[in-house]
Amino acid sequence: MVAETTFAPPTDRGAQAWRLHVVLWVLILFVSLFSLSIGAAGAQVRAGLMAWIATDKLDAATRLILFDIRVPRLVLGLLVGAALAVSGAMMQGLFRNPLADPGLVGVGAGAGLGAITAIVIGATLPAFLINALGNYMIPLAAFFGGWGSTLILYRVSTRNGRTSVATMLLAGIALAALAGAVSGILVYMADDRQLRDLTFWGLGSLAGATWIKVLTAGPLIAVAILSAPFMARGLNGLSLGEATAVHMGVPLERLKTGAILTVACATGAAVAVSGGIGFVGIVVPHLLRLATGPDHRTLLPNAALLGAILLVLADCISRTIIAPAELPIGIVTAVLGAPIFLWILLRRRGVVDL
Amino acid sequence: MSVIGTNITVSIGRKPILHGVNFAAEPGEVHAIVGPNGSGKTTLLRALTGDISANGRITLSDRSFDRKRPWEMASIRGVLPQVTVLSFPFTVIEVVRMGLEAGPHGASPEIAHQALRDVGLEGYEGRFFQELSGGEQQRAQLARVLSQVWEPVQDGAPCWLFLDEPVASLDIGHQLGVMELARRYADRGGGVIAVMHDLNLTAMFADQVTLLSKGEVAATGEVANVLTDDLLSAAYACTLRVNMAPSAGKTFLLPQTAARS
Repeated sequence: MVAETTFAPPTDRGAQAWRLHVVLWVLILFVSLFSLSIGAAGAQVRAGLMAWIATDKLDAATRLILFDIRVPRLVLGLLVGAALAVSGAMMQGLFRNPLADPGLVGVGAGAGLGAITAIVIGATLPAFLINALGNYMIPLAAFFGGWGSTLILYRVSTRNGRTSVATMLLAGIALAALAGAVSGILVYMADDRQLRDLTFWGLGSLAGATWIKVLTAGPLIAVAILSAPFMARGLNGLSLGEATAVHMGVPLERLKTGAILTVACATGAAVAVSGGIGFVGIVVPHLLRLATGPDHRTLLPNAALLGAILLVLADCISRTIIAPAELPIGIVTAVLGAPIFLWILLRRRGVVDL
Repeated sequence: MSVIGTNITVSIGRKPILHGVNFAAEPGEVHAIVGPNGSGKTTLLRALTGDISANGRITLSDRSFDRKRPWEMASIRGVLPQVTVLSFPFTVIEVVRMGLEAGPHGASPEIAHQALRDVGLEGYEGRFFQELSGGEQQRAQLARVLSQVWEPVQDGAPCWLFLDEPVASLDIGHQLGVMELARRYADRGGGVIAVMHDLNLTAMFADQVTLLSKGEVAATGEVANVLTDDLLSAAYACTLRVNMAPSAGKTFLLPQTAARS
């Protein structure tokens, strides 16, 4: 920490953060175009696009690749990346700890358990319920799984307004183990068709992106991302402790309920459509805090954008690095994210009470 | 317009901390809460601010505290805790601005800088809060609390400062500076309730003193009536004598004789 004592951040990191916000929007545009134009059949797509621009005519093959495969995959990548990063930032604010991440502390596993339960038990529900829920059944079940595990985690690890990191991480391990065990029992109970569904779901990638997945996960993620900024001031206050937050006018219970629901929404939807993708939720907010400070009013919107950008880039890597085969995106994010996580641990021991 | 606590009883776990404490503080005054370790000073302050649930009735301006929404309370009352652990790397000015924006003066950003000048932290704006020393952190927090209720009288009603050992980790110069800030706040019409360890500073700056002992009020009233040989000796379990200079030749130092530059 010696090096940092002489380093003074600019007094107005807020303005910087909003400039970064604009830059991130521009980057999202470029990354999206890049993602659409690379991968298997890349040359064909590029030629088709050129022809589209030149002649105003899009040939059928390019249209199929673009609008039935590439675009839904891109949109899902943007949504899931934003969801993972925002839920990470929210959870870190709520737990007052830069190491809280839904994927690491069992919330992802809880959401996964919800999704598996829906796949295995869902068919035995009354027909009217199945019809009413339709494609939303798995995301909703994942949401409730994530919600339940976040609630349990918060109750266990927070006492008198302070979250013990050790308890949080250990409780996360226990929750993940429990969710994994119950998931295992459910997999054992599943019949052949359900096993097929489970396998496809559990691949943990954006490979199976469809417009249906986009439409089922999209609303939950949108609700989470759009409601996050309303909790920003409260999360800032919470960084001074629960009692001080209340004395600064933060409606504490409402904030906690809102933050837990938001985390569950975003994590549940992301897990339901893409399986578990780790480390986005921890790396993105951390990089942003280093760059423009921890103010949640800018951290949350910027995290959504940077998360979307990074996940789409990771997806580009996963599609091309061993082409024509595909590397699961979770491996890419883990390879990039796990070292950063270790680096955070080493570097921050002095500044933040871990 | 006063803060009144009637028959406050608090137990933490099975251990009773406060037994039927009565407390009243008026605006325009510095009211110090003193007493030995474990006498319930901080618990009383936390009961008055609603941090812990207490039996009894606590009112501000004849209204029960829980009737008010947190943001209404925040606009008329600032609370300084003993220690603040900040979980993210905010800078000093960002912390002070958080307080400013929690109160009614959010539109006047210059208040944050003035508050930092008042607590002697001019030039610390861009420093990380976590890198300050304990005393500097405490003064930065005071600047945050001051900016939240910057005007001692807001819309004709007094505002309040609740300070938990505001000078505990400060050197004598800054102790005097902080106590003068509290004094001025009260003189301009606000109310100040402070938990104090230092009896000399209490005698210098407080109007009213409540002496706690074993969770009960041993005495309350004006400084001269509470800080007496008998009351203090009983409460602190050692023989204390006020206004008595040590025998000639021994070095002693009193804040009363300090002249601030």
